[in-house]
Amino acid sequence: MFFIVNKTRSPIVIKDIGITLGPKQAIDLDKVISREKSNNSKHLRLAKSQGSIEIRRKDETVKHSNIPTEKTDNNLNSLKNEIVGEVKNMMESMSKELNKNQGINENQLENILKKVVQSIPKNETVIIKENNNLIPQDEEIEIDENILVDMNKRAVNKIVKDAKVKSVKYKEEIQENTILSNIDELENLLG
Amino acid sequence: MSRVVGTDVGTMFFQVAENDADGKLSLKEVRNAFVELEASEDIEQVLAQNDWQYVSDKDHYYVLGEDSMRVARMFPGKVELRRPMQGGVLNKGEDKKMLVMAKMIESSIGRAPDNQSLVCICVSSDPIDNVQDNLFHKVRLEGMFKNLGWEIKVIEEGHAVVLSEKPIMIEKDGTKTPFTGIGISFGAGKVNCVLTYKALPVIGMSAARSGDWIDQKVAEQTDKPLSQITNIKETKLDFNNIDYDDDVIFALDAYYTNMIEYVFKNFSKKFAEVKSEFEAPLDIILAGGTSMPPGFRDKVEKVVRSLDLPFKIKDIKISKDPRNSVVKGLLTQAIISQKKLKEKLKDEEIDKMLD
Repeated sequence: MFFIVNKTRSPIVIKDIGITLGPKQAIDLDKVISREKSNNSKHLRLAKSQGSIEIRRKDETVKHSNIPTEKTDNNLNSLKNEIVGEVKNMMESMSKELNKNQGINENQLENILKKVVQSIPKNETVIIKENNNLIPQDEEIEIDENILVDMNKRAVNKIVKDAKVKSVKYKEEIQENTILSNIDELENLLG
Repeated sequence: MSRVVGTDVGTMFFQVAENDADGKLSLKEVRNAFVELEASEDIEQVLAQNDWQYVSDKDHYYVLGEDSMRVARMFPGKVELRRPMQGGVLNKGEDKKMLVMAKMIESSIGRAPDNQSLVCICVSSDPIDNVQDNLFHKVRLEGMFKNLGWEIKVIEEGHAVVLSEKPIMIEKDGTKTPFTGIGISFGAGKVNCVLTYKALPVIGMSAARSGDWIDQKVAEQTDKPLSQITNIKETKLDFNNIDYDDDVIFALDAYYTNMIEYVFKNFSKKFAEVKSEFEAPLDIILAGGTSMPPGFRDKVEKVVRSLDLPFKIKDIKISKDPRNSVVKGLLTQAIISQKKLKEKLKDEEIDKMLD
């Protein structure tokens, strides 16, 4: 399970994995895309670092079972409680406003109700699988090992530029060669 | 003429293996340690008079190898013995590690004579007891060899033990499967285990409980200096004849037992995780400096036979040359890799001609 939540009141698009989340919506990414893709998503990392997305649960390995665990239920319940709490607070403040304005007319009442409706998070998770061909995929910069080795090669060159080594004495030993007899056998095994 | 070399950049020793002109095996070794000396007007004269091996960098002088131990003993408390490697990887807390290691490599194997010259080095397998992976260490080492023009092959340390010692698995029907078994290198910084099937590594792990860890723990328990513990371990410890009245020997014995249990329990866990199945019993090959006290093989056998392991053991063997087992395995791999490299370069040449 890779359970993420949109912490904001507006929709969030995680462009490089083609997923849009509505306000306060949650999703288990493992159910819609591969773990490799979600782990490599630069936009997801960005949204997380900005605080707009929160990772509620991330299992070490992707489970193939869809049976919710106790912990998952807890996560969903806490999320539900959070949303219900927020709606309650809004309703309370609106009702206080209504109480203050006893002589409210029909239009004012309609406006207040509209505000309430707009502020309630949409209940369904919006998952839009976008056309990946339209999304630029080259934004992620992956540095491979060969590049790191070359960077280190240049660094070493710089470090030893002015250095000199004098008379390093090694303990030396000459032995009968027992290695060569293994080589042919190993070559056959390794192909 | 092309060269092919095995190099073990170990926590305690830096070793090189190469076939010499007579077809014999040439082994070189230097202690992987250094001390820094303060620059003075006559510093070069002092170094030359004592015939100390050193690296100089502008106004800084670093005495290397065994000489560094001598200098540290001559000026106790004034000169600090430093190590480029710690726990099986480049020492994160040592800012001169790159300089010292790079110059040590340069002085030992020099520049590659051509593009077909290859060196095989080893790194630790995945660690079980810390989060630090080997990527940083690996690419830094590779950078040092590449800077001298060498082609590089990297394998796991435990794998090198198997390539050097050639364990054989015997199936129920009597079929012999060579280079199949568990190679364990008990080094100074780490213990490395690799299960290999037909020379291909199947499972590998490394544990930070090894020689240095034992020394450290015994020093803490007995309140004796670390150097004294290391010396007793290297000269007096004999598992066939443990003197339980001697605090240091007793503590060494206890921590060796702990290390062996820790390694095998964790390796068993790894083995169970990958659900590897071997019907036939496996040989276990022990190597490395920490495996050298007399009676170590029997001690391992006693501890291991008391554990419930997910694989059957045929025999526990100690390398005939435990200190050099890894570097010999690296040379073996280097020779095979060089042959492949030569074939590849030849193919490329033919392709060019055809183009």
